[in-house]
Amino acid sequence: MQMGQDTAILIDDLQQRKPAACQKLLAEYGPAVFRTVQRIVSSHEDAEEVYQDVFVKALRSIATFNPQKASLSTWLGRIAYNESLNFVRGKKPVMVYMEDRNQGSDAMEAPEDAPLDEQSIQHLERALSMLQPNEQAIISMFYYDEMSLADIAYVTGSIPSTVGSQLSRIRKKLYRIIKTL
Amino acid sequence: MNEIKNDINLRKAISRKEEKLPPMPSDLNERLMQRLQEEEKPSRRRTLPIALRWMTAAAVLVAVLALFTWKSQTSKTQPQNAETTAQLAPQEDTLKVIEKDNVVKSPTTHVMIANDTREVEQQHTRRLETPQPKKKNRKAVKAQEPILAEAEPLPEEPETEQEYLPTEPDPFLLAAAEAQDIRARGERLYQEVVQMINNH
Repeated sequence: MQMGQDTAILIDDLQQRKPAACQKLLAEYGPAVFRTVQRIVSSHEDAEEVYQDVFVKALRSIATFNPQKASLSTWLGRIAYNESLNFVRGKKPVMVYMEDRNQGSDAMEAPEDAPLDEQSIQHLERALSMLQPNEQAIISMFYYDEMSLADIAYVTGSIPSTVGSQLSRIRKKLYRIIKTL
Repeated sequence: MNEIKNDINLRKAISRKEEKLPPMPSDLNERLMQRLQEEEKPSRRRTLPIALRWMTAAAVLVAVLALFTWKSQTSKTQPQNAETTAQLAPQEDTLKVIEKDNVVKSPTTHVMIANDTREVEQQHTRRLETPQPKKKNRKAVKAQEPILAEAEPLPEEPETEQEYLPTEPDPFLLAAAEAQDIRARGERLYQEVVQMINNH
């Protein structure tokens, strides 16, 4: 993975604790990080707290950043994903749907290929809020951020094939939820 | 995978959901920068409580150690004290009894002493003729001197020897005087008996 010259300079400056570099980092990568946090942490105040923790942690461990493994944005996304999940897990118990216990079972119905349908979109919107935080994050990274499976795998700490199967399972789950609505 | 990617309904639903998310506060980065700057500073405020914590911990440790040693010492001495008090308790009782007896008896002894002073004086004059008594008797004789002083003044002693002159009669001295008196009576009786035998 290649790193731009600007990013390399930015990382050097961050390692030297230059305030201007910090400001540049926040301005450039802050909104994306905040969005990642918001997908998992529902409370706005909590999201702000986690956001700050993400950058404090990132600046402390900037020396460990390896541009060969991932881009800076993906590296920050990984920290944001883990910090948010840790925060949520510490706050409340994780809801486990009955369907999650039968992962990959053939009992799940494949979603039908449907044209753009307003009613389906609305139902899907409602169904999205019923997913687990990590599922919401994965599906948003894929559809909204248009991240590659490799990058999502780096963020979530898994492998691309697992992310692919996870996406398929989450999609099926969404359509299954829609049927119950 | 294409099937997943081409799910336009889901893509649209996610886009709508993402758009509904509240925007990032404009001052959030400023607050974060302030926090980062505060954490960068090696603040004295943070080091001082740490030093205080260590000091209090050390003080508590010393206090605990002192308490422990004091307790161990007291636990060792307490049985000894108990033994000594137990031993002394009967002795104290006897002392009380003795004190009571003394209170009752002391006037009578004083009366006896007052009656026998003349005899004692006589005995003393006799004794002066006899060779020097032992150290204990010498003390007794010296203590008797105030009684004799009324009869005949003693020659002035050199000032270098400052002796203690008791203002009250010494019970030991009185007992010695009584003993002398008895001895004198015995001697007199012996002489009388010897004379009677010679006469016969």
